Amino acid sequence: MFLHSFKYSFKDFIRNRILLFWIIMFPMILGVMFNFAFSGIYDSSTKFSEIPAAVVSEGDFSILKSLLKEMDKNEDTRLFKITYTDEETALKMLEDGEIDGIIYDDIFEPSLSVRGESGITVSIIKSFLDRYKSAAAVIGETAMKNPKKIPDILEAMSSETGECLTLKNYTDANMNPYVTYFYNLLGMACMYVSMVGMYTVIRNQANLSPQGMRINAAPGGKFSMILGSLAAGQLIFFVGIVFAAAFLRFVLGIDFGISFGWVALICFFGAAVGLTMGFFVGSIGRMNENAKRGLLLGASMLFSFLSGLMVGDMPMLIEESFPLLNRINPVRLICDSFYVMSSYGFNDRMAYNFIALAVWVVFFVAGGILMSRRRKYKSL
Amino acid sequence: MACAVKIENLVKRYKELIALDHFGLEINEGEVFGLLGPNGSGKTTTINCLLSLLEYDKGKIEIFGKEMKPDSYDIKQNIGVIMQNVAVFDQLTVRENIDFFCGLYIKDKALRKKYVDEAIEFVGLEDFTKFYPRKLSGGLLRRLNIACGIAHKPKLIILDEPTVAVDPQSRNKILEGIRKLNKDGATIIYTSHYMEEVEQICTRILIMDKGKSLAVGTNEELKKMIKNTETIEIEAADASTGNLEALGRLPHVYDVSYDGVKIRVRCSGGKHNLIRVLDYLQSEEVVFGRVYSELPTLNDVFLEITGKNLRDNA
Repeated sequence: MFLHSFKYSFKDFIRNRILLFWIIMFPMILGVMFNFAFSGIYDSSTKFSEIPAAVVSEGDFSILKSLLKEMDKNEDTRLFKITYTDEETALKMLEDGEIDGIIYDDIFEPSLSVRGESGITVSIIKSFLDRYKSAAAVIGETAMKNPKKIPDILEAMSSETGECLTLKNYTDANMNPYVTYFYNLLGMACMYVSMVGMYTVIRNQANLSPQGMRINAAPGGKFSMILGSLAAGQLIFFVGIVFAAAFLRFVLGIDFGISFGWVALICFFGAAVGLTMGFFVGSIGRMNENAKRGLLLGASMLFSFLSGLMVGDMPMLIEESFPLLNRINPVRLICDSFYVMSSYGFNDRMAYNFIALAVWVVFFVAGGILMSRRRKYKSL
Repeated sequence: MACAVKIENLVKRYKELIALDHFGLEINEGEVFGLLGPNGSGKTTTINCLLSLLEYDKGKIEIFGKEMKPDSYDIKQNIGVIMQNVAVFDQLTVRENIDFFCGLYIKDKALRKKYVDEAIEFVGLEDFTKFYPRKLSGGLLRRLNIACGIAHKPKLIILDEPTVAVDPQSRNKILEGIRKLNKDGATIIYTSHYMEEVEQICTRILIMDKGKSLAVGTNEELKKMIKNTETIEIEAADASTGNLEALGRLPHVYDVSYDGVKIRVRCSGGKHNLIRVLDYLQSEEVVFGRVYSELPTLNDVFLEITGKNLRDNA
């Protein structure tokens, strides 16, 4: 019965253009629009590159200038694109936005002048200068108190400084902050699979459809029928979402920052949550089909909104005020899985996300079975 | 003859509404049993209880001598059901739909293929096997609905208003098919509010209203239960009250009515009632046009039992 149900549910779903559109095509279309909207912003403002800065020196020789020139020789340590100039020119460049900061190379007290107070480039320049000043202070103090130890300190510092100044790519993470919108898009697509779950219940329940009446009038357990339908739905729409993800990755060039195998695995969990959520809502007895459809669409959009599909900062706002919501929102869990995997690789947080998604699946399946186990109905 | 279906004292309530009120029936194997009643009389509720889909408050249902329960799979294996609403999948073709529903009963693929082919031929959908339901006309869709219900060759076939919104050609095809299924050995339960269909194909008929069984018997038995044996209608524009009173005094006439266009004379028994009525009108020089004489119908039976027309309620 399971295979019979699987076979015909598969045919039914694969020919259902409306479901295919909303679950597969709609995220692709939205992806094209997102890509069009975000690509310009990302290229001009967010992509990491060497930080333009100016150095205003008092003389031809300084330790700071030597350090910067040394850093500039190696691609791994090159942090800045330095212009050595006088103060007047540097200030004009800063005002014109050609540079992000001016380093005043005073032998006793180097200082910094920057545009604005925040931003990643300003932080990097400040951080660099703080480390330099602290190292210079240690060397100066040692020279006065115990000059014999200077070689040891310099050796220790050189290894530490080298580490500090090296730009290392620890992960495959995409630095583009807008990629989270695409994570959300896939999360939303997973939630749309709930429509398939609901349809599965409707087609198998005697009180919800004439087809269900006919199925229930036949011999055999209806749960093998429902499971067959759910399995067909999971297969088709999991593959569908992976197809949509492949479109985003390979056609639009959206770099998820993780291998495509991981993308598929996260989509598998996401589709399962969406499908079983639909099964759960579809099994609610006293609610008509339109109300169930509305509830599922509303829930999908709400979860996506809270995960940052419409307002990117939403998860951060929730994290500050009601972090539990981020821990249980399925779309957030899907997005966070993409983020964590791309930034840190598989770790405890990633495991938590998978477990939380699996708990949702178990909850929805158990609840759905409890609600739909009825074999006789009060009304039809 | 063995009893195929037995319902005793069935009560089904929807809050305050009593849908089935101590309803009972017995259907013998090989019968075409008609459930006749207006919309809302409880026909479909009876069918749903019979199939163990609907909870009921009281009563007992037996099919083929065994109590019917939701998990009575051995009984369900022998039942075919054709619902009032077309129960097929829009994304499956005609053949796939029939194969899907037949597959709920028949596991053997080769046997199922044979049964599906036979069902397609039976309902005359050979030219439409690859069509999707949305491409079929209303009549063809109803035929597909029937094929899905009978492909597994059930011993008991329940047809719940199968000809609603069907063109005459398809209706005749469906009725012919039901007769053939019965001839091949199936017991049929046929619900309808079309009395002509029920009269045409049913060997026994149960008339029900408001969840109660009002009368049961063959077509002839039911008609014999009522007073009316003949209704004569005469088109007459200027019949007087005196004329109507005189007609009422003729032998075997028990009711005379006049709506300004037609005189309606109801007779109970007797012969030559029409001749006597026309003789009287001619003798009184009452001008009249067309004359109709009708034998009683199931509607007359329903009218006499309930005081209302079956058609008016349908």
